[in-house]
Amino acid sequence: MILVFVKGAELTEESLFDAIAQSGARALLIGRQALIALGLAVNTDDYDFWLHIEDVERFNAPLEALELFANRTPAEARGRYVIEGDEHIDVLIARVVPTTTGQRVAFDDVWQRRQTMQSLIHVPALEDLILTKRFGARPKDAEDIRQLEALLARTRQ
Amino acid sequence: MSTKFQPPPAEVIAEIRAFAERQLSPEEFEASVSAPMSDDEREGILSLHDWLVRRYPTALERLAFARRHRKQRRARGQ
Repeated sequence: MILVFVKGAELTEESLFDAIAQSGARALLIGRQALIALGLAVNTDDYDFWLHIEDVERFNAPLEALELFANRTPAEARGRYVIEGDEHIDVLIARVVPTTTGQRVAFDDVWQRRQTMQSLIHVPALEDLILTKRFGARPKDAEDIRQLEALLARTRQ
Repeated sequence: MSTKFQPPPAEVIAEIRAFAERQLSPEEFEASVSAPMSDDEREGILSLHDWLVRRYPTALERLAFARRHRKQRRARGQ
């Protein structure tokens, strides 16, 4: 018996973001990959997206062609879920997320103010990305805020 | 004479990762965020940013660079 393994399309940044852009899902790249996209030098092992609550199915479907599979069905996915394959993608789905100080951050507002890179990658505006870093309160979030604030201060000069 | 880099044991890496991922109290977090930034720290952040943007001019190139770096780290067991 001969076993033939067929590998799907190779995952690259271009294939990943192209698939997401083609899907039409409102998906914001957040977390440390967003800092890297902006040119800040940080380490991370995964992707984080903040997704519009109505776009879960639309977001997941094209990623399956890249062998990235959601751990929950769209009906089950509430709050957070994970997409895994060659990459680990954490997906946050919420209309509003509070910061640790109680400030409410609305997806629709952040989406409206987003910056789009290469017509493919949607990243929150710097001020909003800083707010998303206040959803948690880990040492690395504080470190990231300091880097983002240094960048923001320079862009305001 | 140089010696080959030996990554720390997996449990040490896991411990460091858990330390970096721990939740800070609101006071600790605010203290970390609002600690004064020295000129050296600011210059370090911005000069590294400028280098990365010069070396990899697009967001996709920077993310691809990060992926290659990540794969290398994993291959070294870090």
